[in-house]
Amino acid sequence: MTVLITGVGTVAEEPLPGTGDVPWFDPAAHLGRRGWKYLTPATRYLLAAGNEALGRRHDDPPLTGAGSERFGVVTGTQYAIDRVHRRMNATLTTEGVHGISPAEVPGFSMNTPGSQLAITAGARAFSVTLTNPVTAGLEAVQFALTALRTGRADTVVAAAADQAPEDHGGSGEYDAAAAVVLSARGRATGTAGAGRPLAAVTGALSRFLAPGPAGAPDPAALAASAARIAALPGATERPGAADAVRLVVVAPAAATHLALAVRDAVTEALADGGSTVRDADATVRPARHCAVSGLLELVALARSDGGGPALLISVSESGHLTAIRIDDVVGPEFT
Amino acid sequence: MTVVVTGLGAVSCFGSGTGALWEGLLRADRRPEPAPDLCGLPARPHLYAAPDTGAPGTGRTGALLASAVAEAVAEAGLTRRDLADAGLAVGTSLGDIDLAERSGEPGRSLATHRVTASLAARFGVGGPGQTLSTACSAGAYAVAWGAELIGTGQADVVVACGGDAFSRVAVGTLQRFGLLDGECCRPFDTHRAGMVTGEGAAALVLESEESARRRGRTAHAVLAGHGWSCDAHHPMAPEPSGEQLRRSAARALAGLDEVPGAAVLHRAGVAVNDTVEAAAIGEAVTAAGGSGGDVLGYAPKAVMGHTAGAAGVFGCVIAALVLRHGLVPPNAHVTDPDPQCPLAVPLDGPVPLPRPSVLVSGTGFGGNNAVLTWRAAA
Repeated sequence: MTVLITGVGTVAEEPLPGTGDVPWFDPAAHLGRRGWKYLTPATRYLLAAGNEALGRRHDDPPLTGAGSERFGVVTGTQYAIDRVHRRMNATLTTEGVHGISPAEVPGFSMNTPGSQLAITAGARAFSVTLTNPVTAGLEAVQFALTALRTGRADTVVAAAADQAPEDHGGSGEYDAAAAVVLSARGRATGTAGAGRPLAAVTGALSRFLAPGPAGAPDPAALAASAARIAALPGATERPGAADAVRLVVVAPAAATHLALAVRDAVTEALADGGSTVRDADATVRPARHCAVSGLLELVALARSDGGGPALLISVSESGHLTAIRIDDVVGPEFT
Repeated sequence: MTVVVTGLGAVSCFGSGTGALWEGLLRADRRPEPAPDLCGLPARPHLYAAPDTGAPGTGRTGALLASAVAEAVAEAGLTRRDLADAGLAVGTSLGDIDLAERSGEPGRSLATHRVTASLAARFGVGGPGQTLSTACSAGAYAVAWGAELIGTGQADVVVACGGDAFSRVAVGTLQRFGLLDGECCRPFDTHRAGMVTGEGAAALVLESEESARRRGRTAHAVLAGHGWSCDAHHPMAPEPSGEQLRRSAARALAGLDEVPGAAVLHRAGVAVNDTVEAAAIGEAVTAAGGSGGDVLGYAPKAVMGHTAGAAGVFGCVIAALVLRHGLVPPNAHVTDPDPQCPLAVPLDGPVPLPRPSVLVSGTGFGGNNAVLTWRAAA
């Protein structure tokens, strides 16, 4: 079964010095004048990115009927509730329960951004929220790929959204949301998504590398994980195609050491399998957008037309890593 | 691929261990205690509190999870070597939320959702590790995701677990929304007035039948099927017709060749949700050729509270215990039984399980539904 990326959408706060208190995101521009007042910022970002990826306007009706039952949403987030929770916790300890507005109550549940996207777009196959720090965004792609393969849906929006704990990058992290529409080729009908597929997702996996006493993972465990990542299938339907892989590793500053070790081990494992890495000395890219970081990189890779096979790895400081392999879309004769 | 259960673990208001859990369920008399905090209310609300287990963890939920996982892993006889490529699927709503609710202290931590990394490091679980937070169905989805990982060859063994602990904000906001019963949790009583929160963690070792055979382990239960759906209706309330929950139940029932002997319900004492759930399950059973009255409905939350992200895993652990003992515990705290429930409702004592299969349902905010069916191991 071939899984295609048929749409992408992103909204991301970029570190821009001197912007002061100017908000980086204008909800009305993305979501219209009404209907978003009581939604948390992360939810608004997710709806904006999700709508863009699905090629729908904010006021288009949600999908209904049989198509909606084959359409799923999976969302990664690590800070979806942070600000709301902080405010409610303070309110409960000072003013008491009546200081809380019922309208903001849904904001304390981690799944609320994803659930709002499911409601807006009409996704009834499932709406799952994943919450591992950093890697949850790419785990959403792994989850979607798995669910498409087991026949739980024909189209899945794999998305991520976060509002950083402090404004304007004060925590070293920034706000963002990203969404990719994944469709099982030949099965997806009725669900929106862009027209022309951007890329094929050919493999995905997650591993956990426990940081050792000195912060470095056990060498044998690292090599075993790297071997599995290097063995993720490509678009093998293209016999004779040059197998030079774009390798991108994305990690927060605190995980740079682990990310470099993963990059080197995967490069070596790819070489053992006869593949080369383009840009072998590529630096680890900074994960500045919380759990959205990996998905933003995936969107960039998918948008680089005809870029060939790419391997994207998201690494967290706790030791989670998630790898996604994509490739160019090849003709239907290869499905 | 057939997925079986080879280990169970639990920490609940009854104490540590699945033995204490089963005993407490059979006794059917537990009531909640005052919570450790006012939660912004005039008097301390109720809580089915779990004891401190002394297990190391990142926070309270992490510690409860570590105890439950240790029990399940030990029962399954898994070594660190076995776990090096195993998967870990953790259902939790708020994670180690105590780290973020330390009032008046400067040490507020954002590291609430590192429970999976902490468990993976502690037990040496090196395969895929996900944290699922689909609100109150997170545990049901964690078990289902674990089965998907095995079914697609991403792992042979998966530790599927769920945990949640007391949260001031959870209790306060549920109260603000009128979802808490001030007396106790009484899901089958006509006068039920809401849920009561509970603390706990539960764990299952899932593995492929082939892996269990290779390791010479006895299966406790076999996963017969699981169905997922989303109401896509409202961020907090269920869709009144229950159409999507019924669809996920139908898919789970399709894996069984009989009407299940019992149903461990999500039923938490919130009247609207309870009614939608029972009707949906009843209709799915009817569509599968049975009748709701053939199925023994059971609501464990009456005696252990709503354990949020742990609830679905508790449901599966309880299903395995029901299959092992061939008994369904009595439903507790019922003075005036809910006449609208289409399922049979045992009240006076444990009842023999009529057929060796059990359905478990999980629902949550956002209309996130997952239903699993289990049958006894051959």
